[in-house]
Amino acid sequence: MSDQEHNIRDDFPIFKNHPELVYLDSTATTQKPESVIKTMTSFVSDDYATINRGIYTISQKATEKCLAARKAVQSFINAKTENEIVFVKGTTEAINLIAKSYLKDTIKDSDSILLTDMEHHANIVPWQQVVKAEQIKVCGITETGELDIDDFKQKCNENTKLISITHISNVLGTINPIKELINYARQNSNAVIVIDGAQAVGHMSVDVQDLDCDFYCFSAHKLYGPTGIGVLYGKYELLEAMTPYQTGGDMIEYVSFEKTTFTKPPTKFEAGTPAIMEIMGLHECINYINSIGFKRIQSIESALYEQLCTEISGITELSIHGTSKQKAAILSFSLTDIHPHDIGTVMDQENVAIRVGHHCAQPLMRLLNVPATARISIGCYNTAEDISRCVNALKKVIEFFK
Amino acid sequence: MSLDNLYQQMILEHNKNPRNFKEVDPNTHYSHGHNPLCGDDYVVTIRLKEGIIEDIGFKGTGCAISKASGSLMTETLIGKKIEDVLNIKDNFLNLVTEEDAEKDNLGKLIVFEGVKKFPVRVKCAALVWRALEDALLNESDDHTITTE
Repeated sequence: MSDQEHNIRDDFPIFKNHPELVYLDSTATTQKPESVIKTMTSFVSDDYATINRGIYTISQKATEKCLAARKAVQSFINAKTENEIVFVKGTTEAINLIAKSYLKDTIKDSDSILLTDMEHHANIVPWQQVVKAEQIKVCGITETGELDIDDFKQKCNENTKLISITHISNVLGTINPIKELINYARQNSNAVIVIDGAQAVGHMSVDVQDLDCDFYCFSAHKLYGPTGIGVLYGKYELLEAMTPYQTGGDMIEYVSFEKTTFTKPPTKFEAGTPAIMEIMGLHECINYINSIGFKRIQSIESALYEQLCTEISGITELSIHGTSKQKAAILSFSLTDIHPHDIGTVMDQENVAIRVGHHCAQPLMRLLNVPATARISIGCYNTAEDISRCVNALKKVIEFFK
Repeated sequence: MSLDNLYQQMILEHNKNPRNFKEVDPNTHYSHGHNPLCGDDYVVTIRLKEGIIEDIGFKGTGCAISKASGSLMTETLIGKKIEDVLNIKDNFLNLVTEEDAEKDNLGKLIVFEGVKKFPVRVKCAALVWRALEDALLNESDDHTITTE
């Protein structure tokens, strides 16, 4: 093992505090490396102050650090300028912001929007608040859990005002061919394209200019960073034309009781004192990911996923939901006649943490014809032993309910 | 806290072969119980005649705990007077949440005692009982309840 190949698991205090824990729910949220925790705590204990307005030194320093974080995000997803990076609470708020500040003001009765059957509730419900049900078109999926490209092409046309698609499905693990879809949409519609990147950014490198999406949304907490902070990337011209999402301090130029003028993006969308400490954490989690590199992250995750698939292949009671060719290290499954909740409880007794439920994707559950599924998802800190212990626990579940 | 505490043999058996897994037709009382977090979903139907439960059924989908709870609930309550039914219901809900629950009239339902050691599963055991409560006591027309 070379210096660069240090043991990633050692970076995460949770595994020192819970050596017995097999954590396989990184799709819900990831654990945090020591560097992120330290950055946040030392900022608060050593350097804490508000940003933007302070004339005093530590406030200036905090302001500089926030700008550095914005630039780190810009470079992480290859945005053109740091002014295209809006800090939000997370992916959910990012999508709500686009729905309220972009779509609501621009949609006409004759327009439609295009979503897909594999979307998370956060990429369904915000749109429903601003458009009529009949304006929502839904691209179907195939038996293997891939987007039905023919269906997409049929539903993407000159009436399509907006397309919003997940980069990676949180249930099926499918990596969608975003670039190909955007390319088609550019040639056949004037749609604005939103990508829900919540499940992608921690597992693959994302280049928003290369993808040519209009908006890209993600949360830090699925990126080994803190909760409460996330990113809305938007092309600058679009952000500039949009109305503010929330109003208040920090996003104004001049205020009088007659009239208020707003600042330019990104601060136009950042009313109120931001989550400064979380912004520091976001910056550090990007540093952390960069220090490991996606090449290594992907090689760890795909090797473990392959091991998982091999080890479960003999379990006849197990059926997999989502067998797309391009797949992230996410495995949703059912066990014959055993409810996912019971699977989750028995596995928890073996200290294996997996997610059971509808994964905030009820339309997809109905399509799969299951009330819920169990889901194993892998992060860069997982090990071959985690996978073996998980599969052993699964076998115990089957034995227990026999 | 062992698994056998939660999943007693009787619970596993009732999960596999649920009793009264049906909709009572005609019925006098009805409620739809749903847990939006996990997707457990049952309809409880009751035919009450002269203050006595003549027939009761439950139907739907859910985990072993919720299904066994429906099965043992219906088995216990058939033929009981409504006052006794409501008393058993209160005692059952106490059994799965409190340390010092009154257990005298619970009979077989005592097998659910272990559930209180698994807080996230209490709602599974309680769902059909909340639906029963709604069916019998809620005087509005909307008989849908959710537990979260």
